[in-house]
Amino acid sequence: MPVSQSPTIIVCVVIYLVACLLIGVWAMKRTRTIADYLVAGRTLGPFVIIIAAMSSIMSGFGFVGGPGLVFDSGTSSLWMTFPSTFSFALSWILVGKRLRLLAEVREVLTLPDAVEARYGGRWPRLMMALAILLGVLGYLGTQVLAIGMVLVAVFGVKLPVALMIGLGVLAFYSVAGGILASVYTDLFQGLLMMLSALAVLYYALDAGGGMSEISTTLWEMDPEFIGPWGTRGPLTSLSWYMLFVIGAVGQPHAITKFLMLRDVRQLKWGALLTGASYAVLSLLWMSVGFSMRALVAGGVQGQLDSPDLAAPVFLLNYTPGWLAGMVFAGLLAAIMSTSDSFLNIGAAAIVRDIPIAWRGRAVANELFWTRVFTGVLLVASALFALYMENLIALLGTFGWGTFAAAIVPSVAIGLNWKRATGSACVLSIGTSIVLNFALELSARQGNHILPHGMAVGCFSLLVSIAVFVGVSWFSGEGGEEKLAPDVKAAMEV
Amino acid sequence: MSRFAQGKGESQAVAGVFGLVGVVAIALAFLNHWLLFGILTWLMMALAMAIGFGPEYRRRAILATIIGIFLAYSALLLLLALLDKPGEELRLILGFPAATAVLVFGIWPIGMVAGLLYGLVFGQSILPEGKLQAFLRRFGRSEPKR
Repeated sequence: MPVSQSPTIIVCVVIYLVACLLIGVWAMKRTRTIADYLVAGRTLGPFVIIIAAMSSIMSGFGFVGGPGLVFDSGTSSLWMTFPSTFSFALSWILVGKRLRLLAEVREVLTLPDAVEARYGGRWPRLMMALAILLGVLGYLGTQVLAIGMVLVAVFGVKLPVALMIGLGVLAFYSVAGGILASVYTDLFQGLLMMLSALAVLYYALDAGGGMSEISTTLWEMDPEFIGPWGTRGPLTSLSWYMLFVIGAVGQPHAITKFLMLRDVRQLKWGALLTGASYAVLSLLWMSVGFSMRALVAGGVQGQLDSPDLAAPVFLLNYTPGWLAGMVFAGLLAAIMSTSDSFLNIGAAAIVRDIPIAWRGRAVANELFWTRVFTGVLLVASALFALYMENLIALLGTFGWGTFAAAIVPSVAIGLNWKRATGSACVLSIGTSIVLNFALELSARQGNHILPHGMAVGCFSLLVSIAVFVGVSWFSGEGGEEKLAPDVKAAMEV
Repeated sequence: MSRFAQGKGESQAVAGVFGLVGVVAIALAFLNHWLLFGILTWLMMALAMAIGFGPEYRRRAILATIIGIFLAYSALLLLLALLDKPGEELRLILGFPAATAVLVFGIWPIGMVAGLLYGLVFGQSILPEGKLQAFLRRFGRSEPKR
């Protein structure tokens, strides 16, 4: 990433970091129990939940990787971000009410809690916790590395120093304030991202001479690039679409936000508004990628060393200092808002979900140990990021697909379909982990087993759904007969 | 009331079809039938909506919207395929090549209809106040239990 060291950008980023610290101090005073720490004591209103769900899904990948992918392969990657208008609605329709109602009758603070309430037994909880932990480790590693790289670009310091600054702030507000600090920083971060995206759209179109001019330049360079499928082709684009539209329902950092809602009635307009607010962020993804590619194709901008430089180079060269500062802060916000959600659910998996599955009860002094493991996870992911970059890249790719394939069948379908069984839950989660890991590893070694560019995560998701439905259908376990009356009632409202 | 009328038989069928469509989608992807794969993607989305709405999906307005979304997506995909002619002269619609414009101004915003439907039928079909109150009276807890 190019180094800026512009005073305006440094000031904006410092203001942002200080605001995060202040929110952490405020939240710390309001966090007294494990329920406060993990689900904000179920006290949050709809506006906070909408922006927090949106900003936790928009990670550094969306702010840097998204424009980079558009720069690299044109329209193809828009099939990843355009599903959001529908996918958030699907999350609300399939999971929102069910998960929140389950929390009315059981102590559901995490997804493994919900899975145990739904299916009974320890194995579904254990498998869900393991899938979440594996996904979290991968995601956190990539996000931590991204925090470091952004701060290297802003302050011009070495990576370990940048990591200490960024992770210090993240550790403080996440450990001290738990999810309350996380969602309120998400709120601040989400609003910052939306403002940044709208402003960047204007400058991106302006720099490229308007959308018609950008399209014409790109068409002359390569008609497929600006065509509806980009350079990756229709099957890759459509399999991304399926993975991101249905798979979004299984992203734990977004759907656990339902557990924090004060009143289940407040779900009403969330489906529409979250999709709409994410659509605003998609404008940055699309406009910067196309504009930068047109600038390079038109000879206005020199070649980039890497597609991921599209967004930072655009900001530094084609936007005013105040906007670049705001977007760099927004970029940091995107990365940190995703990281803090993962820290929360990862620590809960270690301290609460796995011990309960293993020995039937959570550890003593759960709040204290969850705080400790939030810090431990952050340090571990920083070490991973510094010393095991290849593993991190693999786990990062593996994250979204694993969450989708593990969680969509067991939670999104299982909370709506009474015939679903615990065996189906365990087998589909196991299938999702093995398939995603094996296929990603194989693809990284150059062996593309799936034909025609089909996305690994999409394939794993479809197989996992088929396993879940098939096993539930044919196992003869009688999923409905085993349901506890309160859980059954929560599935019938 | 029969199981079918209560929506039980239907929910089994919808979930079963959802799984089956997933298997067919894998086969189509392996055969590189991307157009049919795309249409099955929209079909899975429609079935997922029906699963989430439960028996309420049979209400005329909800069913019509779900089917409408599926048909609209499928029609837009076909239109996009018809307009996608990279070898021909560039024709712009609101700044984008015609086929890409179908994606940007059609497929992208149409997803909002699902969220709009959810908000509009919330009080009547998603969470009727009477049902919620009855549920909370019978099962709502004041103390955490597991």
